[in-house]
Amino acid sequence: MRASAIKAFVVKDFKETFRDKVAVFWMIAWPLIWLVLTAYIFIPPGADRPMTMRVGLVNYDASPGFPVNGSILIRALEEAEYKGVKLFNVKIYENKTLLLEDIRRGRIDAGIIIPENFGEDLTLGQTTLEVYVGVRSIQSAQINRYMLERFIEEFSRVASEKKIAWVMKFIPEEYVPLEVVEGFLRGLVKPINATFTEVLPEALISREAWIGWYTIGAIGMTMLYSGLNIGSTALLEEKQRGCLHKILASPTTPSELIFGKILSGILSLSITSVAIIVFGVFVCGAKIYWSPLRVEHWIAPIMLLVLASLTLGMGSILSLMVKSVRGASNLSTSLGLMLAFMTGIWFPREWFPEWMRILADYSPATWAVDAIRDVIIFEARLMEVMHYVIGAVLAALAVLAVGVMIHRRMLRKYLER
Amino acid sequence: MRVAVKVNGLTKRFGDKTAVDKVSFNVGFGEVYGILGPNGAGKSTLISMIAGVIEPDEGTIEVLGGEVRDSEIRAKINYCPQNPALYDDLTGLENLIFYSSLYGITGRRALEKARELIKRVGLEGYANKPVKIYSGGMKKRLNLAAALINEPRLLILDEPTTGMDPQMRREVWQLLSEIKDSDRAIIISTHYMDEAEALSDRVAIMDSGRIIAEGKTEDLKRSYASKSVISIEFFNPDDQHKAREALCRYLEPRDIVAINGSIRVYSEDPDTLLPQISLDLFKVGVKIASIRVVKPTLEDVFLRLTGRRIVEVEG
Repeated sequence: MRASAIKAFVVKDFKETFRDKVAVFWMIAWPLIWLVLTAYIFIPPGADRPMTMRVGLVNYDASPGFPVNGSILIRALEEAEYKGVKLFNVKIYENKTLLLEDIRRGRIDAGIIIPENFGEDLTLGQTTLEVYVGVRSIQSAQINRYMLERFIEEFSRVASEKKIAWVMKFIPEEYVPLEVVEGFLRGLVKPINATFTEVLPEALISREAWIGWYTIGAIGMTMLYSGLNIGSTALLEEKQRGCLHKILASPTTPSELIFGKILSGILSLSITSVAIIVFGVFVCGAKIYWSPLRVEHWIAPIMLLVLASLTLGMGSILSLMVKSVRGASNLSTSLGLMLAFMTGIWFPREWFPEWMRILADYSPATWAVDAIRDVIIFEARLMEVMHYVIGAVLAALAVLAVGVMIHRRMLRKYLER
Repeated sequence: MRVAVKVNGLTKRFGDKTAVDKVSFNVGFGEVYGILGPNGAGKSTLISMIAGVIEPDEGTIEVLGGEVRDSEIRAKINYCPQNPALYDDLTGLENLIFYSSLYGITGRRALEKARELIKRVGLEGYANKPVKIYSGGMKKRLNLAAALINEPRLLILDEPTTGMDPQMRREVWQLLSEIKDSDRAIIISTHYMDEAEALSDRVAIMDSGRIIAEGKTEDLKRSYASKSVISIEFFNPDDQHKAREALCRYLEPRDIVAINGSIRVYSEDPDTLLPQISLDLFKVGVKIASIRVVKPTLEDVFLRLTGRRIVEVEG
């Protein structure tokens, strides 16, 4: 194979691709539009912060002398925080009617009615609370209810601690030591003292890391439809333009032509990937960490090349089903987008029903994308992604080999026609 | 004559249709060989086989002493397809540099060669402009330049001037006559008789996949036409049949060809025949619009051989 012929195809195709406005739109603008939408609409700034719930309160309690009472409940609500963010935005109402009116109008998410003698009843025995949760959507009602339940549970525990401290003053120490009584009472309040520690992947907690996740998704999505498109139209386009005749009359061999086409496709897709990463990081604020000194980080560029080869090979197979460049473009764009949406490349596979997760589990393109995400977002080690890497490499080699065979057959048939 | 191309018994079938049927000929270095025929005669298929782009079903082709699919041989030939094989988003210069790279000509050499050819085909002002803004004629000229990029020893041109205006055609003819060289063979397919006559040293006339006549243009005209042609046109085209009947009384029917409402009479002695024809047609009531003696063309050769005009078949 002559390098000059291969280089000629690479340079020519590259210039053609990036001078074609439609190609530039699909390969650069479209994924960037998606990234911007994701970064500023679907994951807006602040989306990674805990949510604050608007809670209305009517306090009929008038028992300030007791260690726990309505005012303490209100203060606890106002002071409740998670990761430095206030959990409740409290609004006090004069009566229940006004509170319910605002819940119905969606001005607040929930309301609590603190009854008369709340402090006294709570200190001396049991009390009640009326909690109203607005149902703007089933999901928001579920979240609001859970938040209030958790708060009341925690407040009950704190109230019980205060009750124990208060009641201990009245228990004589003659028969049982006071620390035994106190321990027993505390056991009634909270028999199991479990601790919860969040161990979510550090990187994924932040909005920036989510955008990083979607940036890799945008590359995967673009590679799918553009790779399919380039692979399926590689020879069709030359044929339709009438250039294939002239190319085959030159000393160019079918291998040089096919190899040049594959390399030009890989180059275009690589440039697209770099553009998406640069845009994702510098415009959308994606957190993507890549260091050339870390061996496992080299998985990312390797997987990008594997993904490009895989999609180009798939495109070559697709060319068997199409007769024109327009047909190939339409089919590859639809199929590429569909695959990106259904195989966990653009949307997280956790969102999918069980049967769709199977598609994602067995898609080599998803393996390549997941391997990249795992190493540069979740900081996975080499061995942790090795199964994805091996699977994606083998699949890409097999698909590309079939694609090359199809192109060779197409050229042979063209000569024999 | 040193032989550049040897074609022997070449046959190509597409399903039931035989596009090229047992065609044989030789082309020598320094020679321009024209393949003339109507559309659908098999010219492009024949040309494509010689260029190595289509494989023949039967027969052999020897090009520059070797096998046409041999890449060393292909490096010495070039092919100019009928429709410009160009990339619209590339500039004229970039198109030529791309094609030169396919022939192993790269870097500064490719750039210099491309510039020289751009100038030669009169596109200097458009060298760095994308081909999509070129007119049809400019694209044809660039297409021709691309075929000269490797200074081929065998140049194969498929209908190089189809779609060009007469002025542009003459410019291309001029260019082709300039590149004619004792060390280069040129094969040109065309359906323009004037082009075949103006450019070719020898012509093969093709019809229905076969070569029906081959030779130097003058020899062909002498063999298949006659010394002169009397061309008669009528005020009323319907008179054509009446006139033909009248003339057939004393002329050989094969010497009278009726086409498109006119008649062409092939004669070795037009000076005697012309007044007689005028008188006879007047007697039978045919009104003549014009009657003149013209020199036979390759069109006449085709007419005598097939009874059809080349351009008629095109429609």
